[in-house]
Amino acid sequence: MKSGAIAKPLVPALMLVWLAAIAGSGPLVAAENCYRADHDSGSLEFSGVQESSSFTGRFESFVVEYCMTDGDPETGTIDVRVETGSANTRNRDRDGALRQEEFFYVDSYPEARWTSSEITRYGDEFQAEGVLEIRGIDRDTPVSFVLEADGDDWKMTGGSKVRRLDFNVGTGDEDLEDTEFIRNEVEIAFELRLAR
Amino acid sequence: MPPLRNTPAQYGLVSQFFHWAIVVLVLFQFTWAWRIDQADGFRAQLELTTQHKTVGMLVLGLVVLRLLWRVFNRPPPLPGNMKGWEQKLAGFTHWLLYGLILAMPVSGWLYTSAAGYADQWWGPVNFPALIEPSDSLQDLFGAVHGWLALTLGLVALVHLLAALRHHFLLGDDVLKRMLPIWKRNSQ
Ligand code: HEM
Ligand code: HEM
Repeated sequence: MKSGAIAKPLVPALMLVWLAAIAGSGPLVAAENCYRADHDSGSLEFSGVQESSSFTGRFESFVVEYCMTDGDPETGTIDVRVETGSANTRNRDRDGALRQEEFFYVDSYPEARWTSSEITRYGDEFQAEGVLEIRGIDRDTPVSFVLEADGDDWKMTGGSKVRRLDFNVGTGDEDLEDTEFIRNEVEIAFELRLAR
Repeated sequence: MPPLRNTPAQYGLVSQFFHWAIVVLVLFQFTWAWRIDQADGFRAQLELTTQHKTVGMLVLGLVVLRLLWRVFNRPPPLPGNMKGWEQKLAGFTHWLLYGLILAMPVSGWLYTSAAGYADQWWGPVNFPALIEPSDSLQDLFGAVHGWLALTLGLVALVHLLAALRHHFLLGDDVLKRMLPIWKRNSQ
């Protein structure tokens, strides 16, 4: 048998592969890329005020995923998942309390989640509308951030503000619900390195 | 009223003030420790603990000033009819008490720092953390603080009994000279 007899059917197949390769890298075809960051490549912090002393904590376990088309942040969607039981305020009593039913109720709600809807650019800043879910309660929660391209990665810093009582965090006891004792506003701040 | 400075016969008002103010505050500290234990509710405990810490730091400040004052203002000598070992024991007990009222607040401060509560003080007063938060050091200094408190309680009790012995059994001036009552200098 001549070798050409085997090679012939391969030609169209090779052409397909080649076409696919151009399509994949070609600038004319839309491509979605997903970037990811987690507790090893970033930080996610919350701070509040208790008995007129401020405290700051961080989540030791979380994942952020930002998928966008053609490297345009405004087209993207962001998904953040946080393990509520990983809250660490460097205070054993407080961290223990945070896991209890009165606060994050980790046994029933191990995960908090934020998913973006619309992302809009205002100058150097982005504003993302989205929904935050804590303890199974959903609330519209906008997040603002700035992005800085860094090689193939993005450096993303920003934050948000939430009211803990909107999510029943710190309830079941009149002292805990008293915002003079534990302030209602909790500030969220993050610093991430998003990589593909 | 006694003079401000110590005389060979008695403690001056400043030394007396330091002595009795610290006695009152230490009693307050024990009472508050007990109340913290009894309190129910996280908030009540936190508030009482904050008061305990703040008053404890006041004790620390007073002890430091008291020792400085003592350097420049020697205490009156003990009565000459006390035996050598009695004088030594009295001296030793007093140094032990100084050591304990100094170590109490320092161990409390370390305890609070290790527990991550260093930023929780009364009102506008804020003290820095001495050490980084750590579970094992929190347990250690908590235990140290408790044992020191027990030791202080026992030594102060012995000290109290000794003072009463001087007054009622020996009939000397040792207790009176620590009290703000007028004493003739002729003695
Ligand atoms: C003269 C000074 C002090 C005295 C006599 C004192 C005495 C005591 C006593 C008797 C206890 C209970 C111990 C136990 O339950 O094992 C206690 C607990 C405690 N002390 Fe102090 N203390 C003093 C100063 C301080 C200071 C300066 C601080 C902190 C800056 C402090 C922080 C604490 C804390 C956090 C507890 C534990 C309270 C709890 O049960 O949650 N103390 N103290
Ligand atoms: C927390 C409890 C107490 C502490 C830490 C304490 C500490 C001391 C110290 C360090 C001295 C030595 C002063 C010096 O010479 O520099 C002293 C002297 C004295 N204390 Fe106390 N004290 C306590 C409670 C009491 C009580 C309850 C009494 C009496 C009922 C008392 C009566 C006296 C007297 C009479 C002296 C003078 C002794 C002398 O004349 O040399 N103390 N105390």
